[in-house]
Amino acid sequence: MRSNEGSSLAEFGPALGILLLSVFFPLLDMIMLGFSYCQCMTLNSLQLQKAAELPTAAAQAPNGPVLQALPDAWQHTGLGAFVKLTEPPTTAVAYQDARGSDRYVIVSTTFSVSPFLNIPIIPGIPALSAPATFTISGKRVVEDPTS
Amino acid sequence: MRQHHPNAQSFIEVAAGCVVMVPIALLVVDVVFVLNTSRVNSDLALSAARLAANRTDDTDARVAAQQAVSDCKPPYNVLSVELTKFNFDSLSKLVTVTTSMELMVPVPLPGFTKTAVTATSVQPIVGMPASR
Repeated sequence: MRSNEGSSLAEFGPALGILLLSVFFPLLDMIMLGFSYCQCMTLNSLQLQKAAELPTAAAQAPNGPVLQALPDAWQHTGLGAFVKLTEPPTTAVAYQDARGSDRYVIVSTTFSVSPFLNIPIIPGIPALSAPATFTISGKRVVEDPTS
Repeated sequence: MRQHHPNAQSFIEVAAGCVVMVPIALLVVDVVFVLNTSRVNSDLALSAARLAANRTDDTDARVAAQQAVSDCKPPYNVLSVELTKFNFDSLSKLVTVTTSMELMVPVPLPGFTKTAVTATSVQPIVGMPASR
C-alpha cells in the first residue's frame, strides 16, 4: 500500500503551473491593460486640451501638436513609455456646433495595445493573446470659436 | 473521539472563501462604474460652465448651461442628468455650475442599487468686457 506522505509535494508543481497560467499571468495582463487604458486616457485628455486652444487648421494638421507632437512626446516620456503599442496611436479631430457661435471639439484617439505577457493558450483573445484595440473620445468647448 | 475526514475540506474552504471574495469583486465593478460616471459628470460640468462663461447675462448663460446638460449623452447606466446649481456672478466675473447624475450600479448589492455623483466647475466669465 502506498504512503500518503509526499502527495502534497507532488500536487504542488501542477497546481502552481495551473495557478500561474490560468490566474496569475492573466491577472497581470488585466492590470496592465487597466494601466495602459489610464495612460491612453491621459494622452487623449492632453490632445483635447490642446485642440480646444488651437485654431481648426492647426488642430487638424497632420504634423501639428495634436496629431503628431503630443502622441510622439507621450510615447517617449513618463508613464506613456511603458504602454506596449503595436503601432502609433491614430487621432481624429472633429467639430460640432453648440449653441450660438460656440463649438465643441471632439478628439478620438485609437490605440492598439499588446498584451504585457502573451498567453497563447487560446489565441485571439484581446489583451491576453492578441492586441487590444480601443478608441477613447473626448469633447470640449473650443476656447476661441472664431478661429 | 470522532475524527473528521479531510477529503472535502478544500471544497468547504473554497465555498467559504467565495462568500467573501465574490461580493468584493462585484463591489469593485460597481465602484469602477461610479468612478467612470463621476468623470463624465466632471467633464459635463466643465463644458456647461465654459459655455455659460461665454455669455454676457445671467439668463443667456443659464440657457447655455442647460443646453449643454441636455446635449450630454451619458453612459447607459445613468438614470438622470440635472443642472442642480447655477450662479452667474457678474461682480466677481465667475460662473459656477453644478451638475449631478443619478446612476444605477450594474451589480445591485443590498442597500446599494443607485447612487448620485455631483461635480462643480467654476469658470471666469469671458463673454463680457473686463472693467477698467
